[in-house]
Amino acid sequence: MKFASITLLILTFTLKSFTTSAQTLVTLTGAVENTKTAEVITGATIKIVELKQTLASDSLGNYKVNIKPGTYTFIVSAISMSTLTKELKITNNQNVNFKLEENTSTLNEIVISSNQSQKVLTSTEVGVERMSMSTVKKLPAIFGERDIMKAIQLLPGIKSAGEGGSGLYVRGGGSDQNLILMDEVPIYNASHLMGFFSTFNPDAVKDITVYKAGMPAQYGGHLSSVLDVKMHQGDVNKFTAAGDIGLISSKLTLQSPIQNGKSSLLISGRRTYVDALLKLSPDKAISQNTLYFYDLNAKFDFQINDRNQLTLTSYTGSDKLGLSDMFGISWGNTVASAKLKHLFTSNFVSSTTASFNNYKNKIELNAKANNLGFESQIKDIALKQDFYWSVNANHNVKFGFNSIYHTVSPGDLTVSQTANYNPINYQKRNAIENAAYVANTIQVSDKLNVAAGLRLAGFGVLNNGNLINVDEDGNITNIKNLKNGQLVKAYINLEPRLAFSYLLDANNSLKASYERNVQNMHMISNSTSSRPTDKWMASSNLIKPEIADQISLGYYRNMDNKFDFSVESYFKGMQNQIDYKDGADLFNADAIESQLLYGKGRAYGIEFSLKKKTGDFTGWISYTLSKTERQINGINHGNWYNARQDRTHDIAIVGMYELNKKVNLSATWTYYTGDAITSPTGKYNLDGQSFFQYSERNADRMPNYHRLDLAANVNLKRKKSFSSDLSFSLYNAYGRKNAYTITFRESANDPSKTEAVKTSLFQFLPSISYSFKFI
Amino acid sequence: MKTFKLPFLFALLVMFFTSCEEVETLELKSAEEKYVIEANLSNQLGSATIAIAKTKNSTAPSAFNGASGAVVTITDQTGKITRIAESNTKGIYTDATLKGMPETSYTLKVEIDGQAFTATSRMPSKTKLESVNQIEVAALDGKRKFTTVKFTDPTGKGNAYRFIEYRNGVYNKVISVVNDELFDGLSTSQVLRPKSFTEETRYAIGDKIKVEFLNIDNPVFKYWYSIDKGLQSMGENTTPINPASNINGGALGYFSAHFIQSMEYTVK
Repeated sequence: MKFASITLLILTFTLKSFTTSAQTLVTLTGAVENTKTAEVITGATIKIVELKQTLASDSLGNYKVNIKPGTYTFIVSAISMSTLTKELKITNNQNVNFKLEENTSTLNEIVISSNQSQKVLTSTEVGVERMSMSTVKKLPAIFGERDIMKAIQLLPGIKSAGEGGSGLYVRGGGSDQNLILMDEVPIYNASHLMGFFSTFNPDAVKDITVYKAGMPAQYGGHLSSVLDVKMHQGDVNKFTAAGDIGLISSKLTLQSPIQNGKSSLLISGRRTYVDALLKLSPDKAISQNTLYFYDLNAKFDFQINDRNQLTLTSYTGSDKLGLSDMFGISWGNTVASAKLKHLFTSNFVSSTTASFNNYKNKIELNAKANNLGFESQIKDIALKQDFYWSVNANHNVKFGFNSIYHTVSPGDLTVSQTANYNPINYQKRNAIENAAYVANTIQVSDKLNVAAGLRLAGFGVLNNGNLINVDEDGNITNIKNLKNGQLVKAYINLEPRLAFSYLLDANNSLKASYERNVQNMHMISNSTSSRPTDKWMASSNLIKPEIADQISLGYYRNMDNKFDFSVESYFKGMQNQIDYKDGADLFNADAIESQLLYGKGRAYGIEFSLKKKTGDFTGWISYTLSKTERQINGINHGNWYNARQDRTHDIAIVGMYELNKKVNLSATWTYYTGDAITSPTGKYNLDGQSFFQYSERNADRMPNYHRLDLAANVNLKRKKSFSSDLSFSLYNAYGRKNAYTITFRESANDPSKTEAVKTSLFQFLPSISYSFKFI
Repeated sequence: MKTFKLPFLFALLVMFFTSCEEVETLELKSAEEKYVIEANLSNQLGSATIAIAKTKNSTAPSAFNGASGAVVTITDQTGKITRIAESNTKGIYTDATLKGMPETSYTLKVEIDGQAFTATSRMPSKTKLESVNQIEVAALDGKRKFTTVKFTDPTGKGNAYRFIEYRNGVYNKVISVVNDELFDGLSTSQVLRPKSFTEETRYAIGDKIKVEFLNIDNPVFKYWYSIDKGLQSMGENTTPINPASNINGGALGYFSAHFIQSMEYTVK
């Protein structure tokens, strides 16, 4: 019944047309474009000074306005772009395109923008944050590696998964509950080197949009957030080369026009050289080891004609870690996609994307005669069709479908001929994931905006080999033999998505949203650090889809166009959350279901944010007060317990200062409540040694975390054909020994005492990097 | 796959990054006391030993503090009951006459303080211990000698083994178990790892190494495997857990009926 009424509501919105009186008015239409890449700019604001009216370009970069004939001043602005001021005489219906230059000098830029203030107030987006790479470039960076996944941890509601890590917890969700999109293709393990770096090469990334709530219906598949990372498009006008030489890695990005003004090619690569430093070590045990990762991004943009545009994107990145000749581990992602954009009319556009994603990890072990390899992978083949229809100036519709065929190989064990082991091929799992959606954005009145959408998600588990059933004790009760490819189980879920914004007056607005998200690919891990061995599982006959329902409410205020203030609160209920049983055998890959427990979760909190956007000094303060809990029968006696990522307080203060045209300085300070941990509540003797007893799960806390980072960016040269910059960072400037892990042991001096041993990483970590650009 | 030890990786990472260790004062809570039962029965005469104690709070002295007055019995699958009496050591219960037989199930029953605990363990059949020897391989801290244990696993999955290593008569306190998931029906050499990669644990020429080789059943394997995982969790940010006990009634510990063999060699 609930769904029926929501569907009706959406239909009403879709069918209802909004007419505007246009007797004495003329219609001005057009698009906002990026001069360098010829891309359209979505969400740009167009201010008509004389009318005190502000418009925004839609998802196709188009705008439309009905005005009286006359002369007007247009001020057009967008994130990371220089502001354009243009005076135009409008006499009759006409088409005007605004072309914006990319903001190369990072000066005078709006720092962080959930877009311009007006957009913040009126759009229906609740819990959405955007950050461009040019902001990230001003912030302090650990190891000199600027990382967009770390920079967004400074925003409210987004928490770091651990010291120096790129993993994220968004509003109480796990690190696997974020949909991470690289140019619209989902990535499974978006990290390098156990999570210390993200797979996003900073030179190839343009910006990120984070949806913490109110995800539009075109996104789905993960519970807690959408991290939509867009990569740069090549320059359509001239050849450029840019690079960066840092402490641990170097990067090079080449851009070249293919058809002047229309098509381009971009190639960007990054390679770390920690292992080159290892080679310098006189200690053979160290110099023989391998440790590096690389990323390679390529993007080819081809304007076939006025109506058709083809974009080919590829990414490959891999990590290699080797311990002399004894042990080796490698993992990585390979992604390729082809997107065809077709304009039926300027108001109706189709976008078709075919993509391929392969995430693989391999562990090799050589102990003399026994040479073993353990390989697991996920392969996705996907097709996505999106339609965008601008019904009229007040109503946009997006609809389409998405189909993914998953192949999950939990593990194949390969052995050398001389090894005394059996090769094992664990059962592959196949599944097909389909979704159809419709999303409406409607301006109901000057004050009220509504976004209403519906997503129908289906997940089909296909048989491959044997089908097992598991009883309550985790024993395998029966094994059925079915035909390969036969549908074992289908899960169908309706996901309503609703968001409202209401403008109280010119500077204040209220927003609310509700959405349901369903997740069918689950990462099973009992550790907080991201590891290549984390196991991904598809929903099966036993593992049910995870479901989350979230409601959010927010208040937004624009203060004299200088400050943006917002408060958002949320409550999220989660079903079918997964955890390991006590004493689970992680490597029993054939019957992993026998090692798992299922339960529910809840997360709630309030987020405050104050941003200063103009002047020499810019920055923001964000504060989150929140609670995240789980309840799983079989863990903690079935009582609610703190999730590992439960942090009561989380504060970030970011300041950036333009000292002069050549130098800018920045500082960030973060503070959060220590992670919830399980400490011993007793001890006992067994096997001639002492063991700890644990009772309540995550009932204790690590010490509180805080840290100050500093950075200075110096512009060495800025000429027409060449520019260069030098960046300095100091991570953990006052050398706080923050706990990375806490372990417990018996004191060596006084065995009656139990010691909590804190391991901390990264005190006073300085870094330097040099970047250059030839045009 | 028990051979893939991730702490190696972690150690490797920590080597490259500056890390530091410090003792922190954290207030530890205390939980309700629980009984801890460590019960073993092997194929050797008089091997039945049951140690019963209570958990202590984290700041109490560690020494074994046995619990007296328990009624302890072991019943075999034919229904024959043996009463195990308390020895001269408080909380240690022994019997001189009982000898376990392979392929036989035994049930332990402990009654103390009005509480009753039971556990069943099946002694597996004998897998012959073929040899115990040294092997030298490159490790984290350069070349190192390890002990390898050779045996042939019988065909059919479900066999599990525990290794107990003594160096010059001293137990090295490494909990080392493996099942035949990867080498079912094959001849295998298992490498035993040291407690930690320190100079202290390096073998010296002339060291006498003795290995006890235990055929254990699956619940006991699971117990040792999970207690080992608890120890191994250090540095990996995993949630520590109590091991998966095969004792019913809410006690910690285990009851293991196992077939035991041992061999010795001298490090060259």
